[in-house]
Amino acid sequence: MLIESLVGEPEIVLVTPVAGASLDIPCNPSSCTPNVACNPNIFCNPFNCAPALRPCAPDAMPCAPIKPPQPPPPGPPKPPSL
Amino acid sequence: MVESVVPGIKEGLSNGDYCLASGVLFIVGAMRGAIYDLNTARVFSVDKKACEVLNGESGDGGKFWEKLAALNLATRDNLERRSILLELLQKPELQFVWFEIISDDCNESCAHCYADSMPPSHRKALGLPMGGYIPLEEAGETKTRSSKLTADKWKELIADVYSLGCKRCQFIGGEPFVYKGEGGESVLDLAENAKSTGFKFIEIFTNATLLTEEKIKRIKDLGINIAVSLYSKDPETHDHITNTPGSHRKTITALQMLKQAGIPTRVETVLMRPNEHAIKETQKLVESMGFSHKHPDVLRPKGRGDNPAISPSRESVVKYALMTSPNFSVDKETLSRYISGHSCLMGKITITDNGDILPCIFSRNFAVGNVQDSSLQEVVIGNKLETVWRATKDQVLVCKDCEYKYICFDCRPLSEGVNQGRGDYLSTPYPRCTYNPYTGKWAEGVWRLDDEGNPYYDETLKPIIEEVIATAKLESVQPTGH
Repeated sequence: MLIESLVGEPEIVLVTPVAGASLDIPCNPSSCTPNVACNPNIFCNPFNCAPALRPCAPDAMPCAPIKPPQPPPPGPPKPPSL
Repeated sequence: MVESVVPGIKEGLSNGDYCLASGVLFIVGAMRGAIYDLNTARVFSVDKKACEVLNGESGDGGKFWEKLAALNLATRDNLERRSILLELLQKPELQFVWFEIISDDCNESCAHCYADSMPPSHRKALGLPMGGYIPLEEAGETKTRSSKLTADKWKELIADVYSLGCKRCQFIGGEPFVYKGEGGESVLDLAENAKSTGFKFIEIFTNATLLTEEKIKRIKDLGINIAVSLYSKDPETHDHITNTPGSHRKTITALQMLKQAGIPTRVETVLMRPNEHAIKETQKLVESMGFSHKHPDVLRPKGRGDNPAISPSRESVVKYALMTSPNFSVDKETLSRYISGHSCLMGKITITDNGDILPCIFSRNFAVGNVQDSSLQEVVIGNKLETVWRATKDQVLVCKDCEYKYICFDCRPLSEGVNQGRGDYLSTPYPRCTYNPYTGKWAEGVWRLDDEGNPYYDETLKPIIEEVIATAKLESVQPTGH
């Protein structure tokens, strides 16, 4: 666990594992296969590319499947062409 | 500031020059505060002085706001004032059901069984009544009926669950492969029924000792998942825990068959005193066999598991169960769940073989209804279940004063079990956290309830925590928020 001290007073410290919180590698949920977060090392994270948040729990509970990206909502119907 | 729909979370705070960026949230704890950055998944801890600056209680905060801006947490832009939390709040709906089709009977007799399942012959020899781990005469409202659901009733419930929008389920027991309906139906018949009904995720939790090639072929054809308990790499230890000679060999053989058949299977290990000496080796065995597994799940004191003789050692609890340092991250989907209701319980129920509906399979003495008395829909939309589903950490003693309460996991049956009946189901403090939100310090103790039901910070574990940390015994992958 890495806590990166960022500034002096007032104090603010990062409490997220830095590698997992990187902005350099943006998470792309569509690249994650369903339930891959249930494979080693097994955190129930809906976006498995993002840092793990919580272990699956309790013992008998499967991880939540990852929702596929949703298509954009349909816009208003086009007016009939004249 | 945007008026927040979640009282504990502040959005859009501003000092006039800067304001918190969209998706950046501020949560005040008893001593410190936290900033959740939904844009980057980062979580920051801030001290009391920083809290005062953010709350506008200190006029000396310009430089701090600049630093927040440098971290992309604040901006000078004129932001549209809208609440992101309003978009994240969700209405609890049924999402997952445990069909506990056979609560009493199992072909094994595990030392820690939450349901007190065992072979009928063992029950008879011990003089125990059929009908579950709570004798009916002692159970009051908690065990409402002794008659078992029929296979037809199970099929009706499967349809009802699906009609409520739930598409994920697990069949569990006891041992589900021991189940036999009045017409000879097996768990696979019920799973097939769920499949044809439209369920997208079906899992059977089993000890796997009764699996045959024929059953495995059917599991494969049905496209369902399997979860298996393996307690040790060591046959003697496993058989000792299951109280069943030869069970390790049968489970391992079945796992090999499942692997060969390409059936999605996970293998789980409950950590307890009898197997803690070789927990790493057991997980290595699971990995070497090509199966997924989770962090070892520390024994919950439920059913026969409520037994100090098999409780894991304090060192194991520290190593495998305690959060000893902050390790948080945040995303919209998780935050959405955690601000809307209970992090684990929301959207889930267990239906036991006598029709009791439990909020969790481990909450054995907390029935929120019974499908023999009322319809499933009545229970699911009823006040009792809604109260449980909507219970956030704002209701949990100590956690309610913690700045990480909307990103930290919670387990009610564990909290209730560890505190041995002191306190309320929904408010007993979470026993796996070492954070003291009133001092801002970690790893000096854990929270428990005293006999009057008041929380206190129990520091008796402190020397062990220090020893484990100092000797670098702490697992490299710690449980986060669990």
